[in-house]
This record gives sequence, structure tokens and C-alpha cells, in this order.
Amino acid sequence: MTKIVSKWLLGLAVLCFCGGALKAQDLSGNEDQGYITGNVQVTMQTYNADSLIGAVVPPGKTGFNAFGNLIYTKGDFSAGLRYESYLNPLLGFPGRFHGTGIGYRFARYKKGQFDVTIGNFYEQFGSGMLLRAYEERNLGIDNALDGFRLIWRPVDGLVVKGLYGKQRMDFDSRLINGPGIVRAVDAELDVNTLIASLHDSKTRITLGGSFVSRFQAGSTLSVDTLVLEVPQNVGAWGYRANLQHKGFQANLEYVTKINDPNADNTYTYRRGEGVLIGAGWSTKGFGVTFSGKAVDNMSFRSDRNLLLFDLPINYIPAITKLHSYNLAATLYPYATVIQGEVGGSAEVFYTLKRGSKLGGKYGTKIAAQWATAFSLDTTNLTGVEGAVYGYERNSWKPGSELYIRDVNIEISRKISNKWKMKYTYFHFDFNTLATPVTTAYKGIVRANVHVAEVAWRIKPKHSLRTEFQVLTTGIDDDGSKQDRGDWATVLAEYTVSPHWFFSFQDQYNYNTAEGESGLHYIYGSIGHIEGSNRIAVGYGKRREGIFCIGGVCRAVPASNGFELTFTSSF
Amino acid sequence: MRLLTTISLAATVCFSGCDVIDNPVIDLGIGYRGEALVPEFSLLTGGPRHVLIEDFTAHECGNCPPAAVVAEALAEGGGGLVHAIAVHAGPLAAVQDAPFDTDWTCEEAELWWSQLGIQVNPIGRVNRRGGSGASLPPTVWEAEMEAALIEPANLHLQGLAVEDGDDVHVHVHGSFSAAVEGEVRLAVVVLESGLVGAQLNYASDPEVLTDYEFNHMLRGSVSGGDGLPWIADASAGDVLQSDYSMVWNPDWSIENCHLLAIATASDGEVLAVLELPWAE
Repeated sequence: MTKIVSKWLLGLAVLCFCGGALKAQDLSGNEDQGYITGNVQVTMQTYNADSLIGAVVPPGKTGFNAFGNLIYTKGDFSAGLRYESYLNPLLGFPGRFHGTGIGYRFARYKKGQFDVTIGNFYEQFGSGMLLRAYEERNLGIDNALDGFRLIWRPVDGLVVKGLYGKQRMDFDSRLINGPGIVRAVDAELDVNTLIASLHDSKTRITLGGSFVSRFQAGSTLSVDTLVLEVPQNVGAWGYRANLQHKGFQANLEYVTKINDPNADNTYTYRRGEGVLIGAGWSTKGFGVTFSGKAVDNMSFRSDRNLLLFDLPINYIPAITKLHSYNLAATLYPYATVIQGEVGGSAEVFYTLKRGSKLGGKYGTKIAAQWATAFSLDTTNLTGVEGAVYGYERNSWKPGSELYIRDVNIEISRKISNKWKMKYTYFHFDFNTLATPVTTAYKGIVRANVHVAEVAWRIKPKHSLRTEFQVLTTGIDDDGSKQDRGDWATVLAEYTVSPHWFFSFQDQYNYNTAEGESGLHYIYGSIGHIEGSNRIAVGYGKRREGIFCIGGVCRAVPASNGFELTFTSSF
Repeated sequence: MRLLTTISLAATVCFSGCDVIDNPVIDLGIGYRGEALVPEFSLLTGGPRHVLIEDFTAHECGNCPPAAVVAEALAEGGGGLVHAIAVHAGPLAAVQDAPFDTDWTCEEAELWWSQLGIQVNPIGRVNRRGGSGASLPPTVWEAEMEAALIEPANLHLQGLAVEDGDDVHVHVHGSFSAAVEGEVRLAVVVLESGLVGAQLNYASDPEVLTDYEFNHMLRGSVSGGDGLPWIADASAGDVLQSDYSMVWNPDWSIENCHLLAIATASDGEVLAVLELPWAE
């Protein structure tokens, strides 16, 4: 391992040296030696046992996650690496991440019409429903591709991407890729750029098409008493269009996938399909957007036998908005039901004018959203057909099972130069069978959340931001409280610009179904900022919950202890 | 021209990247095709545990003949409850120059060999206790067999093999007296005795025997070495029967052959094994 690390560090040093050497040979007098940028993030946590909240102490007693990026850039050339450490990984992070070493490395250059990447890279086609290689470091998700990517711009307005690679699956003191090979090509055409007569048109049109294929060795699989041939090459393709005209914009994307028996679809051979439609219009002080989504069996991984966060090739966006307030974001966060769903959302923004009766001196912003998703309208097949294809879809209409209904409204107003206030209300009808965020309740949880946020600029450089949140769940017919009962959160953040910040948070769980006395989860932290460096120390209890980013969620266990974080960039 | 090149490249990737399978069901060609009605078996709700001893052997393995003696002795002394298979597999079973120029291996033997945690001849499995990768030296086969024999039998097999022209029909009936989690698979394998060929034997003089008699040799199967899925998450009282037809391989002397039905649990362990009697 040390040898590998040394090799890469040596490689980077050689790159830097070459940069210097190039400078000496540069007849144009260009003094550019290139430059190195980077950033570091370190998180260390201690763990104490706490039977009240179910916090356990891992064998190593502490967790340590860290990474550092180093990127050398000279003109159109760049190369870099990311050094990662999981010694041992923080609780809630993939437990199989271990050791310390290089988890990402790449080199890239652009020359003429071509842009070449060697090594690791992230990529997304369209909305990601066919291909999205991305990283959510805080969730431990990283499905970076490792191979070659070529971006070609043969004519103005046309961008063609082609790639071959394997996906990052694991980390054990080195990058470990999955078994499948991903091959993909994408073309995106900016019609206005391509056609000279449309250069100045107020209507902008973009068209795109993609094809993605996975190869994974395989022969046969058994379903019931049948022996079935496994497709080793699974292809998926799609088309997309985007239209903009003044304040109006609309987009449409359709994707499909051939027979792909996998663990997500219980090894059935049904084709996959997905449609994403969006439209919106905005003008000064007002905006409205609508979106619809229907996906059926579009889970696509570079290992057909894996589930959850492992080796996804594509990404199916959630129909709901990503919430940021703690209770709304972590108790009932919705993640797309990957087997299939039909949903829609509508969102409206309106600004009450400054100086008006309702708008007040500085104006008032109002945003409201409604989003819902249902199961697919399907009929289960029986016999051999059932074993091979599972079900047939009757229509794109919503099925009978509600997955999520999320209605929220946000009103924010600046009261004075020193005071800002925001009130947000959320209502969730959340199916915990479709998205199993809790083991305490099976069914539709009805939850209401009220959040009041107040920001107060006390004096120059001193400010205080507070949040008061309450979440109440419904009561079932038998009189019992749903799920884990009600919650309240108080958060206070005091900032002394530009160097210091202090925060305190208490989450309180009360009115539980079991009638238990309330539990407090108190957490406090203090931090110092010095330019691009930031260090913070916190101590307290954190409840178990679901941590989501972009509609992708991971369960995080309860913990009690100190946490030290350091981030820096240069 | 550039656009044409782009489209051509994209089309190449697309066409080569799709295995569209209109009908993924593989016809194994073993569906029952006998004219006679399939036999009916009376319900069997109890009975002793049968034990399978797999002796992984090879013609160029000089220590294998004594291991074969152990396996055969255990089978003969087992009162019909112990069944031995000689599995010819591994590098020492490869075809070499004369006199070791006969290929005694088969696909099923190579599959089972690939499952072994320790690949060496002679080695064996006893009811695949500890999983299909567990491999035991001949010195412990007897103790392992005795331990396996006293385990309760959760699955009780009955069966029949019927010779019918070029076909052999196979009928296997199973009844569960206790629940079994996971998938149960059924394999029906063909064993042949009385085969004569060359064998290295360090215990004899000369060491190369050209008229060595091989018995209980694994020759092939109806169902593949791992068998076919039979039932998942069986409950006590579940009863099932499978009826297959196979085209008999004329290289196998049918009068020297017998068929074994082997039912395995999801962890690979043998739940039940039975030598299928030939129909009169």
C-alpha cells in the first residue's frame, strides 16, 4: 500500500516538476507554472454508551473520517488525487470502509475539440435517470467511474460524451471497483447554437440522447422452478428536450431499459421505463412550477446483485423538495421508491410587494409546495409469466397505495435591519412501508411540523439565529400515538463575525406511543474560522435517524460523545 | 462527416450493449414425457436420516484407492442409509498419456470440485455438513457420518427410476416433517460401477494398476450438479413430487448404473439423499 501511495505522490511531484520544465521550454514567454489547489476535511468523534437513546460504543471507541484533495492545474491540463482515511469509519458511514489510502485519482486534458479524462471521474447525463456518477461524502456515497472519458465537440452546439469504466464500490486502504463495466454515450445538441438563424431567438431549445450499457458476467439464475438466461449486457437509453421562452421553461425526459433481472426487481425481466416532465413560469415576484414523474423498474446498477447505495449507475430524483429544518428533514424524509412510483408536484412563489399592507416595509416572500407519489397501477402476473416478469403495468395512472403527500408553506419577512423571521408549516402523509424510515410504525404516518426561525443582528458582527420546531404525529383509531410520538427542537446559533460561532440544540421527544417520559437530545458546539480554515468542537447526544441528501437517505445510529471537525482549503 | 462518424460510433456501442432476451426460460429438456402415468407415492411422514459421502478422487492420485475403500466400506455398512459417490475431479483427474488417457470427469464433478475450500485428492464431504465448501480427509469421514446419521430428518424422499427405450424417467417425491428455511434444491445424479481403467496406487506394487475397478463413479445428472430449485421456505407437511425424463447416455451401462436424488438446503448441506430403485 505504501508503495502505491508513494507512487502516486511521486507521480504528482513529477507533474509539478513537469510544469516547471514546461515553463523553461515555453517560447511564448508564458510564465505559467501551473498551480496546486486542494482542500481537507477531518471529522473525529468519540462514543459513549447511552442506554437511554440506544447509543453504543464501537470496538475502536472513536471514529475518524478524513479526506484531502490535491489538484494540479496547468492550462488545459489537470491531475489530482484524493487521499482518504477511515480509522475507523464514523458510525452511520458504510462500515466496510476501512484504512487509509488513495480513493480517487485522475488526469484530464483538453486539446482542440477533445477533452480526455483518465482515471476517476464523475458524470451525469440529463437528470441522471440513465447515468449519474456522483459523490455525497456525508452519506458515504461515491459511485465514481474509473476508466476513460472522451468529450468531443465536433461542431458548435453539439457535445458528445463517451465513457468506459468500472464504478467505485468500496474502500479498503485503496479504491475497490465493482465487477460490472459501464459503457455510455451521450449527445446534447443546442439547437440555437447549431442553426445560425436561431442564434438570437428568444426560444432556446436543447435536445439530448443517451445510451448506457452494463456488462456483468453471468450465466443462469433460478426463479421458482425455472432456470433463466441472464442478460450479460443490459442497455438503457433515453431522450430529453428542454425548451425556454422568456420566463417559461419546460423539460421532458424519457428513459427505458431492457430486461435486467436484479435484486431490486426480484430478478424479473420486465423492461424499465421512466418519464420526467417539468414546466415552469416566472416573472418578477411570482413563479410557478409543475413536475411529474413516473418510473417503473428503472433501478440500474453495475452489479445486479446489490441493493441500496451500492453501485447505482443512475439516479431517480425524488418528487418532494429537500427540506433543511431538522425535524422535517430527518424524521420523515422521502426517498424515491426505486421499484416504481408515479408522482407530481406543484410549487408557487410569490413576493408581497415592499411597502404594501401585507408585504410590510421590506416585502414578504411566500412559497408553497404540494408533492405526492403513489404506487404504480399494476396487475401481478401468475405462473411462469409471474415468475419471469412479475407484473404488468395497466397505465401510467397512480396506483392505490399512497407513498407520500408533502404539503408545505413558507412565509419569510424582513422586519427591520436587525430582525428577520420565517415561518414554515409542513404536513406529511408518509407511508413507512414504502420508505422504511422507522421501525416503530408500519403504515401512513400523519405528521404536522411548525417551524419559526428568527434571525437577530444584535450589533455589528454579532448575530443570533434561532429555530423553534414542533412535530406532532397523528392518533390512530385505537387512541395510540403514531410512530415515536411528538418532537420539539430548539436551536440557537450565535455568531461573532468573522471568527467565532457557538450553537446549542435540544431535541425533545414527548407524547410517545408507549407513554414514556420525554427524552432530550442536547448538543452544543463551538467553532473558530480563520480564513478558509474552520475548526469546531461539539458535544452531546444525537438521535438515531435518517440522513438524506438529494432524495438519497441513510440510517444513522444514535450517538453520545465529542465531535471535532476541521475543514480547510487552499 | 463528423456527425456521421459520431452517429456510427454511438450505434456501434448501442447494438453491442444489449442482450434483449425475448424468452429467458431455458428449456432443460427434462420435462416428463413418458406415456405411463406418473407413479403416486403414499405419504411418508418420518424415517431415518440418509447420509451422502462424496469421495473426490482421481486416477493419478496414488493415495485415493485407500480412501475409496473407506467410502465403500462405510456405504456397505450403512444399512442402506449411507450413499457413496466417487467424484473424479481436479488436476490429477486430467487426461494424460496412456494409461491415464480416459476422461472420468464430468461437468457435475468439476462443479462440485470448484466448491471445495481445500482442493486436494483424496478429500471428501459428508452430507456437505458445514456447507458445500467444507472438505474432510478420509480419516474423519466415519465420525462425521455417525454424527450425521443421528440428526433428525426433516425431509423424506421416495422415488423411482424407469427405463423406457432411450429415455429414463425419474420420479422423486418429498415430504417435509419440519420447516426448512430458504431454497431447497433437488439434484438427481447418475452413478456407474464396474468401470475399469488405470489408477495410481502407492499401496500396490506396481503402483500403476491398469485394471482398477471404479465404483459409484459420478457420470452425470438429470438436473445439473447444483440441482434445480424445488421449494422455498418449506413448512412441515409440505409435499411435492418432480417427474423428469432424460435421454440416456449410451456410454453409460444402464445395468451398472443407479441414480441418487440429493436434496440440499440453501447453505449447501444435504437434507436428504436416496438411491432411486429401478422399476421392475
